[in-house]
Amino acid sequence: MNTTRGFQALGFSFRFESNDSTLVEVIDRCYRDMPASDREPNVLRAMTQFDSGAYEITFEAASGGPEVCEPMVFTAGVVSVVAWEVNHRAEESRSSWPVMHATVTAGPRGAVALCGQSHSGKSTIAAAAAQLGWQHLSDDLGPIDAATLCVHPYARPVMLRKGGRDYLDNLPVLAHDYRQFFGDDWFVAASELGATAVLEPVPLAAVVFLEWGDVASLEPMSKAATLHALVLNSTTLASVGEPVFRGLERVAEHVPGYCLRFGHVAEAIDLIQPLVGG
Amino acid sequence: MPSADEVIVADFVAVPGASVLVSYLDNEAVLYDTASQRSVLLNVTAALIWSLCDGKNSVGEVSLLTAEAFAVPSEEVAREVENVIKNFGDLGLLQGIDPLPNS
Repeated sequence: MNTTRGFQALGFSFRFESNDSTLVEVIDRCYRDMPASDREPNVLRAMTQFDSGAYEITFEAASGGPEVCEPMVFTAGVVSVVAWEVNHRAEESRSSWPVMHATVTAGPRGAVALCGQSHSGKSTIAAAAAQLGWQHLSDDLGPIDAATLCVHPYARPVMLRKGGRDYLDNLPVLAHDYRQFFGDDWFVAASELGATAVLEPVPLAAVVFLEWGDVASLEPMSKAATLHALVLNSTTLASVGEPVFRGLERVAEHVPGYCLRFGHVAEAIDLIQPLVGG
Repeated sequence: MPSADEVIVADFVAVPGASVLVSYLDNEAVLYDTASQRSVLLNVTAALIWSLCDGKNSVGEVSLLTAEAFAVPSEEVAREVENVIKNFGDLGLLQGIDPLPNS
């Protein structure tokens, strides 16, 4: 059996095992920015079923028996399923916090959470920011400690969709035996794109809500409009209710909110740069 | 339960739904209904009207207080206030009022 080191994904620790050594290398490479686990890790396992060529993905808690996550995943979907499983469990480990559907990048002025639904351009902006050497805290999930108004790093790999990759130059070259695990969506560690990995929480300098538009602009939002947008982009509010709502309220009260309209990722980067600093 | 159109008249007393959270920020407000998971952003006027729907004031009294706050004659705002409160009801934010389907 091949295995990765143990990773600490917020409050969830895991290592990845497989009878496919290349797949283990790929997962190790994707999660290379994540800190080492600080406890006995749980195990995510993907075993090739030789009769079908598909993988069975299971989860084994550090104290408990295995459970099947997905009984049959084809090669091109396996990293995506592993990433989803890690995301889901990492988010659960911070479910009492406001966790935003957001990419978080940072610079000298602090962290900027770029919030938006799927296909709003979050990950493409994260990748472009990484290529500029900005600090990378998270892609897709932004966990905010409402008491300190800091974003905690969650260094899952950046997901690059086929459409988003068209906006980016100089992407890492992935060998064919790596590419086979990705399908249309690639997963790349932010440090591999040029970002500085961050291990400590960073104060939140701004929350930005992404919209596609013909004319690029960055408009300040009122505190209430910011709270409304935070509510719409929170991944933990529905399950937790009032404690997360009050946390989001505190964010809206103290952190400026902006609406960012853009048609090209370079426009977004230009408008975000003053918020990030540097 | 009745619809907002059926019951919201001048002597009706609106009571916020038990599952509705409110946050007032710089005179605007956000309502979040933990039951329906709906969020509603209120402008300055709607936020004031919501704050007056406290289970004590009738719709007519809310109109008078709103008119007073904006220094306008109450007859000018009465219909607008009633419509705003009906909207709250249609969105399922008031006790005892059936929300409009797909609202």
